Amino acid sequence: MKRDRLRVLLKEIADLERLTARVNMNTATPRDLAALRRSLDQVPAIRQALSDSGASLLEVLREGADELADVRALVATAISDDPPLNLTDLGAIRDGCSAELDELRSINRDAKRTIAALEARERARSGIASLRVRFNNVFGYFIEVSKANSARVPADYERRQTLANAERFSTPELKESERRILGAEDRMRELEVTIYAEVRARVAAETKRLQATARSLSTLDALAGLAQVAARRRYVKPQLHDGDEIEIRQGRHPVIEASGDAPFIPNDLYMNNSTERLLIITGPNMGGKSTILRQVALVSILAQAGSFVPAEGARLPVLDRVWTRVGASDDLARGRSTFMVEMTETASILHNATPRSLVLLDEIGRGTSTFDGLSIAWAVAEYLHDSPDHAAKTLFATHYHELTELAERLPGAQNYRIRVAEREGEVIFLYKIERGRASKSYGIEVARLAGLPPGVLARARDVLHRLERYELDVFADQVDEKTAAGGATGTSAPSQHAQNGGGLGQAARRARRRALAVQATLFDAVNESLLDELRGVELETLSDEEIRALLADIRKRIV
Amino acid sequence: MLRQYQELKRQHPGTLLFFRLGDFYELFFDDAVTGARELEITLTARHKERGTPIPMCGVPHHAVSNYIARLVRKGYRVAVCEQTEEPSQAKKLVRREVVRVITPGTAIDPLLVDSRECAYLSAVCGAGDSFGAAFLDLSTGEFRATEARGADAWERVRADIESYAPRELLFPASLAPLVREGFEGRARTATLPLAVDAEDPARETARTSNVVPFPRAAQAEYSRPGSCPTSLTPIDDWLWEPLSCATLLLEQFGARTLEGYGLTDKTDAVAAAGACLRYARETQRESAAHVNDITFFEAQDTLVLDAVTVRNLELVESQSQAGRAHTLLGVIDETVTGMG
Repeated sequence: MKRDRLRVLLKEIADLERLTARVNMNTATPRDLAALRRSLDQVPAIRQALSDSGASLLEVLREGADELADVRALVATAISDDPPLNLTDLGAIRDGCSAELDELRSINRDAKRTIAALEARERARSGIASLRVRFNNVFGYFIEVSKANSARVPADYERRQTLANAERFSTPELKESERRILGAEDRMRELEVTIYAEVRARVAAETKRLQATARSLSTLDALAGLAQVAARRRYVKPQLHDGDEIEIRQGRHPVIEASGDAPFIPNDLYMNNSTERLLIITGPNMGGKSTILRQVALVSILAQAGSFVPAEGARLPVLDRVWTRVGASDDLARGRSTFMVEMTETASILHNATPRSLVLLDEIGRGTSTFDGLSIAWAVAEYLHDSPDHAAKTLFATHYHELTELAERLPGAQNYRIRVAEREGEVIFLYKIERGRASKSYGIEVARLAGLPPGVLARARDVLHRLERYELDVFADQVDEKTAAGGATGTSAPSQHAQNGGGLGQAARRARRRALAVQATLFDAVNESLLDELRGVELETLSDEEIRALLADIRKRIV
Repeated sequence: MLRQYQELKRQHPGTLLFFRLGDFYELFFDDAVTGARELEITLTARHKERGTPIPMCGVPHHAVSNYIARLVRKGYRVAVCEQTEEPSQAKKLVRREVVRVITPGTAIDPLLVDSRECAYLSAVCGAGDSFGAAFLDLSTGEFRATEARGADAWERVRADIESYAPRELLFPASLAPLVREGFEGRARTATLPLAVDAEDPARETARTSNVVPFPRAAQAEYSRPGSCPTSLTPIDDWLWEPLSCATLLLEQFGARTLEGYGLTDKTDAVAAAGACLRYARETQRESAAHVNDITFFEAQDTLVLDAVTVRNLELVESQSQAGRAHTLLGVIDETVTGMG
């Protein structure tokens, strides 16, 4: 396939941007230049592969990919195919590039041959088969003979060095050869450095063209990469439009899809800025709420990055920003509490989100007490829905079932839930969202999946049962509209509740009931303080009317 | 020889000076103590017999880039001093010069710049309701600048800087409190305690007065596993003068006016860009001719993703440390070249 061929060609391309930078900063090694040549070798074939694409973008990239034939030729004539890493190691410059260098190399080779011949001759002369001519940086060339044989060396050997089990010698002939070799090597090094510097400078002079080619090739690689992903993972072309609707058909989470073994369960999703701008998603933990939230954001981001998206179809607006307040990313290391982090991030969203933003709120308000959390979550959702400047499309995943009341109150809000099937007392998560609100949170089911001991689970079911019954039996009939709307616990502002009337009233009532059941001891304490207050009243000092008012007040405050 | 060392050291405060001695690069005095600790190499001493030993440690010249890379990764600045004449030709002492200073934000060695990541040097300046920032990736020549106006200018520029996650952030010394407050405790950020000494003798040598003595005590802050921290580098205020910065940019780009780059009246962006460029050129001792363009951008032009969102959505870094495979980038990156 054409894309595969292109990618094979691109694979041979070095990082030309950085290579160009190193050439300019005078830190490019001979190997960098060899890599440059190998890269440029590919460009004609790449241009060829792009020649009849018919796509205007690819045509632009083809035009942009300068073959740089002159640079390629320059490097090809001057730099050898497999040069050493360091210039001083010699051999970076290709044979035939400089006559003088070629001559020096030939002298050098001759001298080395002379030395090899000398070694053979000396062996024969001395009768020492293990005699060797060796080289090191300190002593240069020398003849090495083992200790055992050292008595047999010819008389004209000059002793240079004595080692534990060898002796090293020199001869006038060897010294002469050494002088020629080292002299040639010094001069070769000088020449190679000079030639290399010139080549480097001439390459550097073409920086702009190199950069243009690098840009084209890197863009091409990025596009080919995205195309590869799209083909491999069955992504589709999204339709970006100027409107406000997000419509994703059978969308998938790209990362989970790629890493999971089980087939990913896709979901549809629709949002707009009028009737569907605040989606409240309730459902069991582990049911996939967070996945759906992230999935929508990732699909949008991919589309705006110019990629196809993991879905069967998508119509997407151009977003100005994606905001997230997800999970409890604890920041203990930096000394900020979970709740503080959560609120800081939320504040930033409320100040800056616009109708063109996408906001993901996952379990907001979890870092504090139930009532505080619910109140804040409620107010945040309402604000994002109502404020004309900040009415961003919002996905709100929550375990506060009370918030589902919002959707019934606010015209732009809708309830969604994660579908769950119950079979033989066991809960099966279907990972599908549908309109409506979840009936319960299945926390105990999740605990079972997580491996809590059966005894603990049984006890938890038992407690839950009692709490639910307690809630119904003890409180259901006693709590009336008025006291609930009055915010009897004082944790939320009464006026706020009053404004919102029935919806919030019901929600608050249910939340309160639940909280009362769980926190019975807390309310005992509240009542206790009322009793204390009553004990402290000096009845003699009050008028009848005042006593009547006091009683009325106390009755109102009993919970 | 040590006098030569002291002189070079004086000219390059705030750096670990790698002093070329034959086949080795040596560190002396406090540098040696720091180097030996950070590189886990043997600390020895010179002049032991004279009773005033000088701490010393060294690395062989052929392996020096590895050692430098390790130090720079930890946030140190390293000045490399070479012998600049042939020992055989020197009459007495070989002449030595610092040929480049390698800092976290200006490193271009492949050992220090992973092929798939960017390595930005960033600069920020401004005051009140106008701030500018510039981002330079010296390893590719990519150069960008931005400027924000209004009450939330600082916040916006700060968010931009956070999203670029630069290796090193330059700022005018007078902006130190703001910068330190804005970036302290942030992911990928470590603070370089401000130590600008107005009476610093190095001030006379204008080329290097902007490099701040490196605090030894602050090292622990740099080692955040898994990510490269941002080093904070204060630079004298007078080096941020918009006019001279503009002149420097024009000279670099070989242009007559900055209008074509969208930088008209963007004095803070220009100052930040100029400061970036000057710092890069001075530390590298090269003209950096491949930096020949600059792009002015504004956040409105793009889909904005703040650092929190990038983290939450696991776009490039996995929250569970499960590695790159479990991120959006990991899934969609099918590119075959480092540039892609």
